[in-house]
Amino acid sequence: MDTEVKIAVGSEGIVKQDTEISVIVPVVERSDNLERLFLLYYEELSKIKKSFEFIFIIDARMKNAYDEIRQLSRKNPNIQLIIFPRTFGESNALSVGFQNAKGRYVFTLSSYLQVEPEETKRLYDALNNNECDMVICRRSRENDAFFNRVQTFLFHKILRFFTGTKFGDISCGLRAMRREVAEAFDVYGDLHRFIPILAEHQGLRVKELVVKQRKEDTCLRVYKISTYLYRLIDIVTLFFLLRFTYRPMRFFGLIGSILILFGGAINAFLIYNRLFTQGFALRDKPSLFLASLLIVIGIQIFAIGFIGEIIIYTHSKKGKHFNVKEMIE
Amino acid sequence: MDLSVIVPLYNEKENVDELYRRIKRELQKLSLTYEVIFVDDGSTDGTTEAIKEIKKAAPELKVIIFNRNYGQSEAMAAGFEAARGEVLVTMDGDLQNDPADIIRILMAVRSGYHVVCGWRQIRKDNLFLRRIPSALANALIAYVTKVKIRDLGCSLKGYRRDIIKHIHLYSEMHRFIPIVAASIGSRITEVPVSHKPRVAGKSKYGLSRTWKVLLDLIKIKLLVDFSSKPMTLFGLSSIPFWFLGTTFLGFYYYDFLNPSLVPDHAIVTLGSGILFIFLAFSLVSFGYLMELVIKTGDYKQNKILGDVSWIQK
Repeated sequence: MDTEVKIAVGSEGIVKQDTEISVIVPVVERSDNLERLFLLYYEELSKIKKSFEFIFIIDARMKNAYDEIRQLSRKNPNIQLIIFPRTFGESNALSVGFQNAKGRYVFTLSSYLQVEPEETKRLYDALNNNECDMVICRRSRENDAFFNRVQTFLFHKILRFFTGTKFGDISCGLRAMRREVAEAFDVYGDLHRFIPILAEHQGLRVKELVVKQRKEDTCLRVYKISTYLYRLIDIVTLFFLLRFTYRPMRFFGLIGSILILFGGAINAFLIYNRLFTQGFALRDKPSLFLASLLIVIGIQIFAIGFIGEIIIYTHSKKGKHFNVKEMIE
Repeated sequence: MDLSVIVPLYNEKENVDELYRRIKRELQKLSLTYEVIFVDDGSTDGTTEAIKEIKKAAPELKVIIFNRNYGQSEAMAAGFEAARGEVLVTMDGDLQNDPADIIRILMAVRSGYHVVCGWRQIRKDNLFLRRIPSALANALIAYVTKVKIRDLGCSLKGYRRDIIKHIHLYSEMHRFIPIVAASIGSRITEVPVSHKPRVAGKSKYGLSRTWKVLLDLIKIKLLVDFSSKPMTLFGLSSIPFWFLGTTFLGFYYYDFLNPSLVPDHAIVTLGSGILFIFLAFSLVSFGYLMELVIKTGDYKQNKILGDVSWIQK
C-alpha cells in the first residue's frame, strides 16, 4: 500500500499511554453527519469513565467530510485524523486504523448510524469481563425495511452455505475486539466484511450480541447490481481462503481428476470402437470433441491445484497456520 | 537437552495421566536430559484441564494449548517449534505406542540416522478397517516414492533436530515427513516397535480418508520430484498434447486436401486439435509461472542442502 498517508493528530499528537478504547471510524462510502455520530458515541463512551480516542480514516473519495472532521478535531483532543491521498477502500482504512490504535480495546464504527449508541457499553462489558475476544452486533430488525431484511437473510444464507458460519449480521460495522486481535489481522481487498468469520477461523472467541437498530438505518437500501455481484464473489474468495489455503489439491485435484477420468472413459470407448468396429468413424462424433474438452479442462484444473500446492510448499514458512492459546513451560 | 518427546493430544482425557507416568518412568531410567511436550489440539473433553493438572507437578513437561482443533500436523509443528532437544521423538497420545520404545528410537537416531520410523510389526487394530487399507497404502506409497518404509502411519518416529527445521508441516503432511526428508538426502531407517490395542478413548480415523491419502500421495510425489524444477514437469506433461494436437490437425488437413472424402463433421478433428495444442501451450505457461513462484519462495533445495550438516563439505 502507498505509504504516503498524511496523519494529522489532534492536540499536539499526545496520546495517553493508558488509553482504554480506540474507536476506528473508516469514512469510505457514505456518511451521515459525522459530528452528530461522534457526539452520540462520545457521550456514551464518556459514561464508561475510561480514556478513549477516536480515529477517523477518511478515504480520498470522501473529501467533503474532511473539513467537518478537521473542525471537530480542533475542538476535541480525542480525535486522531488520517487522510488517504487516494481511494484505498475500507479494508485498508481499517488496517491503518488497527495499526494506529493505542487502546486496550479496539472498536470499529461505521460512518453512518447503524446501532443505538447506548449498546457500546454492552460491547465493552463483554470484552472487559473476558467473555470473548471479539464482540459483533446483530441488529434486531423489527422496524427494518422489508427489502433490507430479505437481502440480509439471503446473503447470510449463502454465506452460511459456503462458510458454515452461524452469524446473522456479518456486515454490521460496530465491532469490538482486544487490540492484540486487531493487530493480528490481515484484512485486504473486501475481506473487512468477514472479520468475525476470519477471527472464528483463527480459533478466537467471537460473541454476537443482539442490539437495537438505529432508526436511520432502517431506510430502504437498494444497491447497484454490481455491488451484489461483488458480495457473491467475496463469499467465494472466503470459501477458498478458509477451506483450501493449505490444501488446494483437495479441491482442484479432486474435480480435475474426476473430469479427466470421465473424458478419458468416453474417449477410450470411442477409440476402441474405431479400432474394432466396422465403419465406425471418429470425425463425425461430437462426443470425441466433448471428451477432449473434459480432459483438457480436467488437466488444467488439476494443474492449478498443483500450482497452489507449490506456492504453499515453497512459501509456507511465512504463513502462520495455527494459533497457540496458552503455553506453559 | 538430549531428547524432546512430542505428543499431540486430541480428546484423550482418560489416557494422559497414564501416558505421562509411563513416559516419565521409562525416561528416568536413562541418564539424559529430556522434556515432554504435550500439544493439546483443541480438545473438548477436558483433556486441557487434565494436562494442566499434571503440569503442576512436572517441571520437565511443556504444555501447548491450541485455541481450536487444527490437526495433527499443526500440533506436531507447534511441538517441533517449542522443542529444545537434540533428538525429537513424536508419539500418539492414545497409549497404543509403548513409551519404552522411545529409547530404541533414540538409540537409532544417535547411531547416525536422521529419521527413524517405528514399525508396528504386530498391530492390534481391526483387520479390515485399519490393517489391510494401511498395508495397501504403505505398499503404494513405497512404490511411488521409492522410499521403502513399511509403516508410515506409525506416529512413533524420531528425528534429528537439524532435519526437522527444513520440513514445514501443514494439512496432514506429518505422515509424509520421511519422504520429504529423503528428498533432501537424509538417512532413514525403521525400528520394530510394539503396539497395544486401544483401551480408552476413541479412534479418530476411518476409511473415508482413502481419496485424501491418494491425492496427498500424488501431491507429495510431485512436490518432492518437481518443486525445484516445475518447468520439467509441466514441459514433459505437455509433450503428449503437442503430439495429439498435431495429429488431429493432420487428420483435418488430410480431409481438407481430399474434399471428396470429407464428411460433414470434420470440425471435430479441427476442434480437438486446437484444444490439445492450447492445453500443451497453457501447461508450458504454468511451468513458467511456477518458476517465478519458486524464485520468490523460501523452500529451495540448493539452499537447504547448503545448510544441512550431512552433506560432505
